[in-house]
Amino acid sequence: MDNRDLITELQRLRNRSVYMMAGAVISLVLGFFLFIIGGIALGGGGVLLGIVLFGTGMVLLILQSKRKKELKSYMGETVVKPVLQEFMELESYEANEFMDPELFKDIGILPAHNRRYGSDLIRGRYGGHLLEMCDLELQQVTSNGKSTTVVTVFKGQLLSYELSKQIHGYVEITKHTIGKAGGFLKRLKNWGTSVSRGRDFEHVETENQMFNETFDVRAEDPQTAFLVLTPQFMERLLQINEVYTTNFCFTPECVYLAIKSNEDRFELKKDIQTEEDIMRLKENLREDIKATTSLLDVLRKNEYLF
Amino acid sequence: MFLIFLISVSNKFARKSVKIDEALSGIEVALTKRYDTLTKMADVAKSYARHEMETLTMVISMRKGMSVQELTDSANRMNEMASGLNVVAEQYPLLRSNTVYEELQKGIRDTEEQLQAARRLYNANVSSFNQQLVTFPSSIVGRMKGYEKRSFFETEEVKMQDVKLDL
Repeated sequence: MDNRDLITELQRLRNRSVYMMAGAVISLVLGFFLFIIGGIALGGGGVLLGIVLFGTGMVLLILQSKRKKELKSYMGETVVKPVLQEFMELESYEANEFMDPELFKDIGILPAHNRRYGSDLIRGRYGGHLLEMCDLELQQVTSNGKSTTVVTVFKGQLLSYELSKQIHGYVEITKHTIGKAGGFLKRLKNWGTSVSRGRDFEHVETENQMFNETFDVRAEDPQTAFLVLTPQFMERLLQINEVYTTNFCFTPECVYLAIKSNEDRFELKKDIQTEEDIMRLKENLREDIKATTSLLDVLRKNEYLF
Repeated sequence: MFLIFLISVSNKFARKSVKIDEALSGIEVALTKRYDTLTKMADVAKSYARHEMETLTMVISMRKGMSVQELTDSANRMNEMASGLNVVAEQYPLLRSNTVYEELQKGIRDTEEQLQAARRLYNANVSSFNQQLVTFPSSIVGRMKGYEKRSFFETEEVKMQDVKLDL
């Protein structure tokens, strides 16, 4: 398929999605007003028309969501996949899937949440090691009976990367949020983490004061934490932290990274009309992938792990 | 109020002291492993370089419950023995290519990493303990309980030297 066909198909799918969204919004708004005002001005007929329009809006909204997924799948197959193959041995790419939610229970680097969305599930090998990653959005929804509050607690990427060596126990490195190192609040938090996760975590203080002030380190075996956190590696993690808030969870077989980038990657952010737009889109995708692989490169420099 | 403070600081000292002892036993374990591997390497090397190995063999004592100073001395002797073995291996290519010796060399790298981590963990705990011991007001409780500054575990692995550049 040449770029011309690609542009035509992307435009067609995008337009369908945009028109459906517009139709859904108009139907919902009109339906709502007819339902409220129509009853007074037009009687029962107005109310009925309002209900029909509202229903049509809802159907259009569902259809629009399907079209959006269709567009994403198409873009994934034709644009994202080839770009990903430039960087890794790609095994699969599923535009509308994300990592197994069961996995989140076992890693303590994601905030508490009760609703999750995800997309762009990538499986492959980077530098000879298995890599799995996806976009993820986590929300905490609370309701007091009268109103519902939705707070996005995490938006970014979650990835797992296979280690060369098996390590002893879990080591979690998360951005410092509560209490001072070794303080009462920190111990209370660690106790809570240990109980909720069924693991015996210990707070670890390294010899690097700046690192201690930036990150919380919890480990089942403190010596393993020191094996992973070499002085050079700690310096690199501090540098990364200036660009992205990234939490790490080292498990015996692999490391999990939660990158709080506050954005979805591999998205079609604007209309594609020219070949130049396609080139720009591909370039943006490359930048997105590089942002992640640069983190993996930092990990791979750790001689103990790789 | 004072009682709460006293109990809280006392517990902190006790916790840190336990952590230091645990970390020290980590050093002991790593050193014992290193000692075992070095002994095996020396045995293999003897069959290739009997004369050199006779001059190299040195007395290294390893037992449970050694003090920091004793552990440091043993670690330094092991360093000397390891570099001596390296010199011998350099002279005997057949020894270098011996598969058992190669495996042991990999093992020694692993034990050295373990030792380094154990040493850093111990020193970080000692530093935290000593800081608490000298800072006010926890220093009062420290003195009351008779705690003393703990010594760091420092081997002669890295020596600060002037770098000579031939330009």
